Amino acid sequence: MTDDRRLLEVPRGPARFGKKIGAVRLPPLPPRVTGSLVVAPAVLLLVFLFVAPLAIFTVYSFYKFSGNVIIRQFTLDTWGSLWQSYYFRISLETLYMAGWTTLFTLLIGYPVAYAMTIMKSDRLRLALSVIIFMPLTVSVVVRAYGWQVLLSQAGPIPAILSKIGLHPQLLFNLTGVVIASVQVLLPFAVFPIYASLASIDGSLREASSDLGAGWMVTLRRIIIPLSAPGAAAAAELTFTLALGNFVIPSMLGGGRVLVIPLVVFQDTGTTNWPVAAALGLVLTAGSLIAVALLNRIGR
Amino acid sequence: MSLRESGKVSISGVSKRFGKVFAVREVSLSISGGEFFSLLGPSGCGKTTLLRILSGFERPDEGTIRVGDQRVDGIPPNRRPTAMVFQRWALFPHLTVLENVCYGLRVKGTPRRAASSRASELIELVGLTGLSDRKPAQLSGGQQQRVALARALATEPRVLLLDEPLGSLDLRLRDQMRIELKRLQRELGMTFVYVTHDQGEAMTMSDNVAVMQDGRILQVGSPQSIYDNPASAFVASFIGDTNLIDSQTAEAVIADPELLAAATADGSRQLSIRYERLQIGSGLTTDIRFPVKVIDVSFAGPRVRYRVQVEGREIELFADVPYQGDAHLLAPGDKVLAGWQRGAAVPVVDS
Repeated sequence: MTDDRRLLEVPRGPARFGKKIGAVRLPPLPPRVTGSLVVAPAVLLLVFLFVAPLAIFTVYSFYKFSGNVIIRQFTLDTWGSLWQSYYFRISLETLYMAGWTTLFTLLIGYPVAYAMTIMKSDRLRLALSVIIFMPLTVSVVVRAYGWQVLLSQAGPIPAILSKIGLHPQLLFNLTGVVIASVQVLLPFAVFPIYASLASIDGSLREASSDLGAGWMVTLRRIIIPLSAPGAAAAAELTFTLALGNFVIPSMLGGGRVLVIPLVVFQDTGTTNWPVAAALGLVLTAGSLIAVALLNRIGR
Repeated sequence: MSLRESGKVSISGVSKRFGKVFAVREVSLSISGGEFFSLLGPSGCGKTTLLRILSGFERPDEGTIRVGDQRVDGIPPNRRPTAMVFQRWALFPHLTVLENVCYGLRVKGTPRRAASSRASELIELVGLTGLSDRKPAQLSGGQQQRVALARALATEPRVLLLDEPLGSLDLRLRDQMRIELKRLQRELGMTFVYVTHDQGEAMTMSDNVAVMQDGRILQVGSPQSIYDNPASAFVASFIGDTNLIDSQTAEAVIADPELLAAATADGSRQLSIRYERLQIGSGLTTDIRFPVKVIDVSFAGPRVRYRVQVEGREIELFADVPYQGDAHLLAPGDKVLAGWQRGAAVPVVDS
């Protein structure tokens, strides 16, 4: 084996690896061991920061909150209470918000990513990706304030819309939350879609055209089906990020868009940790189901 | 209009530049309908660009292209009467064999049932019966090649363009596909324009060949005429194997003043003598002959290739001698004569 030969060679080659004299070189570790060493930090992080908290949440969700104290006894009361119409409504509102956000982010993000793949100038493509990426460098809080200004009744966007006879209420409702969320999440959709579009062999587009298809037919029958995995990945990212979104609904919802993260925050504040934990688990479950469904579509 | 008329391709004064580099330079060609025509040249000679201009993927900077009596430059690829078989076949990976072959027909609005039955015929024609429901990834290279062919033929193009379609197949399969392609072309009576860097492919399949270098066409003709009368030293050495003899060597070995004059006059500064037309042996009586020493012998079965050195000079020549079971081969170190009959050597210009 090559490993054995290397062991024999090492002492003869002075100063080839490491120190000259006195240093005993250890034989290289087998790949399986080095492999597990490399992933160890990630695994540790995941266990301490995700698996363990999840376990703690699960335990807490089986306690209950009563008379302003947490009663640390196993009970199904907390889970039972989630069947109230109040929690049903906020769950539905959360799904609604994340769903619309995902839909619009994809509808805007896909054409942008497609444009990036067909443009001939590399410089233009770079400029476009910088423009898409740059907002990520600005805090979400700052951007939410920006949207408050833009969408408020006295702001520029309602002013423009009123010129064409439209007077929609854009701020402190679901519309405003979705608009701002789409802007915040756009880069997370564009880049996975772009990656999958860019990996489509250019000769497929040519072959389609050669066989008589115009660009629309090529897009519909070749490009979109082949980029479905990228679009599904984009949808997964957007949807899960939108589900857990806190800043935007709290700043642009004006208390009228009650989504799970907001309720979790409130309940944590009032030390109703069992309900907060149970809702947190609902959120996680929602994300997992969405990912599983979208993975199926993507394939 | 007959296929002979409608499948005619006329290229006139076509040039294409990428930046400052000419990929194709003032090319004019006339390809008859129903012809198997090859564009042959080393990589970077412009043959693929010329094919892409024919298909419409590249726009020529200058010149006109006609298919039949229709001018096609300026028409986008999806409305040209041409179809292309791509180098790496470019099959749609998410579609089955049948769907791939149907694609062109469906796009043109052929009803599903009619398209399917036509596609099935073509799948049978290229020998893939029973594989209609496979995805391209489940097929071998040779099978994918056939799908690409069927897919291109389905749209009933007047001209089929093939971009080194056999390049990524193994040798044995390539030989088999050569024969099948040629058979198919003859049966369909369709014009094939075939791009290759493999002179063997071009020679064995084509009715006519255009040899290209640096974006220009050096010579057009039947394989035999190019082989026998190469226009330049480049063409001579690119098509088949040849000994190129410069004027100094010629003076040393050719006693015939008439041939020497022809070989060295007006820019024709080299003589091309094919390996198989250079004879060697001890009792040689050819018009031109000179003493040589055998350096190397390689036995290839149907022929024996000798590497010989001209006596007293640094010049080495190759001679291919057919092997007919005569057990006695020359050996390295043997001193013999080499030479050729008048007319076997052709003067060529440097290039």
